[in-house]
Amino acid sequence: MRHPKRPSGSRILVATTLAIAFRAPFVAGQSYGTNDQTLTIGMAEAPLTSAGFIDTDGYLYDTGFDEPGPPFVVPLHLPDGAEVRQVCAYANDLHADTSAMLSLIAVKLVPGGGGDPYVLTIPGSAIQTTPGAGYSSYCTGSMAYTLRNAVDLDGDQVPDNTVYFLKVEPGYHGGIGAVLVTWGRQVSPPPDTPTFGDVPANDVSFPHIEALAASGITAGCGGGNYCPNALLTRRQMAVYLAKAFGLHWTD
Amino acid sequence: MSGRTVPICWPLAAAFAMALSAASAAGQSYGTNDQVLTIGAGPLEDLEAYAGALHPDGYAYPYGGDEFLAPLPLPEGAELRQLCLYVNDHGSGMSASASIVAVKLVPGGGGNPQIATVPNSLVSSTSDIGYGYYCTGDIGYNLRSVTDVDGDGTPDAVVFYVKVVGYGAADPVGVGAVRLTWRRQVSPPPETPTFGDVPASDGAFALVEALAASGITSGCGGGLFCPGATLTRRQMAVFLSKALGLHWGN
Repeated sequence: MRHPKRPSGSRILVATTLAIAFRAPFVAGQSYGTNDQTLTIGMAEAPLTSAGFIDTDGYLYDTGFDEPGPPFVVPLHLPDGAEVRQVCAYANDLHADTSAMLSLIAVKLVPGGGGDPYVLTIPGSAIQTTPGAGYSSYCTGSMAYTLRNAVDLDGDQVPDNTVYFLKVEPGYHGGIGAVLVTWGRQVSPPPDTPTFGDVPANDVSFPHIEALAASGITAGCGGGNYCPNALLTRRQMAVYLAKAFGLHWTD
Repeated sequence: MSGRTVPICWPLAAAFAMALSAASAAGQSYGTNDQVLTIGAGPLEDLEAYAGALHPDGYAYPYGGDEFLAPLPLPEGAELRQLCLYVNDHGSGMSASASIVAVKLVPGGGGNPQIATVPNSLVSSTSDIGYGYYCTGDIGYNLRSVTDVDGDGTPDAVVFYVKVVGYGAADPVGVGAVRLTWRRQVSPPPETPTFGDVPASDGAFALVEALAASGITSGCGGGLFCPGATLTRRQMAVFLSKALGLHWGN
């Protein structure tokens, strides 16, 4: 049974304001391809003197005195177009009367001109820990939510610039170990008008070739064509890979 | 700069800390050769304990006894090669150390918590060198998000961190950054080949299997990959766009 330390001093309030939004999360590695992969978001946003502290088990414990600690958010480091497929959480819920809430949220970035702020909880992403359950893991059901930098969050038919977070609302005397986000890369939908004359919209590789062109990896083979059936030389392969990965910048 | 840096005013320290901590995850490059990840001192500043705030030299000055866990943004399967710790160790009786730790994520059912130090990853400052750095030898550890960290024979879900500790009296030692040398690896292949024409004896077996497991290719049909076939520009586009999840620009 673990009990949170009780930080003393009035500086806690100052720290609370500062620490909440700006901590980089643990970013587990990202892999490639369109199959499932896992992003592990650890809670050691060291030292997180406001949201909590890391105990000897490596979990983050809230600093609540007689009530749950303050909610906080951590960045969700996923690429544009990532599909979120499931969220799982590891927690140590120690109090029989309260539980922690975890969810993915989208925050609208408000432009000038009188726009209204808006925060959307991504549907199906919320997890509530079981009061008093101790160490346990929790998972949502299957999801299929595509993260976009610009999307209409508030339903006014206007795309909003968006930032995504993991939001944690701690319970009382509770620990959070990590949140695991299962996700996959996706190839973007193609434009209405084909870029290359020899790759029309009914070509089976239309979205893939458009995606390469839009990324600046290829400009085609000249004359407004892509030459999709031409064989690839090793030279061309080198150009594709070097451009795609932005090689090579080490010392 | 020598000696303990002059403390700067609290609001300024806070501003430093906010700006730098988010930038602590250095970029990653591609390929399987060695590359370097630099984790700056931003995450080590301590907003509650004044002495830990980032100083004008860009270093954090944790007190003796302070422990910090910082994010380790490396991809699955990354091989840790070496860890170097940049410090400002300017007085006797103080030091700092850095290591990589694995925190076991405990499932239900009575499991026990565990924090394991990655073997050969611990490095400490050992003398009053002022500004300087210390490095481990070769670490040779593969980061896996599921691995048996408590030695009970059962794989555990794991989260990795860089752990930095200050030792000694209240007079703090400065920590500038931890620099990790690491490299990407292609995953080991399965025991059973996915494609009939790419057997385990094929020189590119592991590489072709990695592409299939990543969802980048499903072969050329009929349970085959056609490894000796030439590649069209169309096929190259499919490989690359699927691999990288292209292109979602606005």
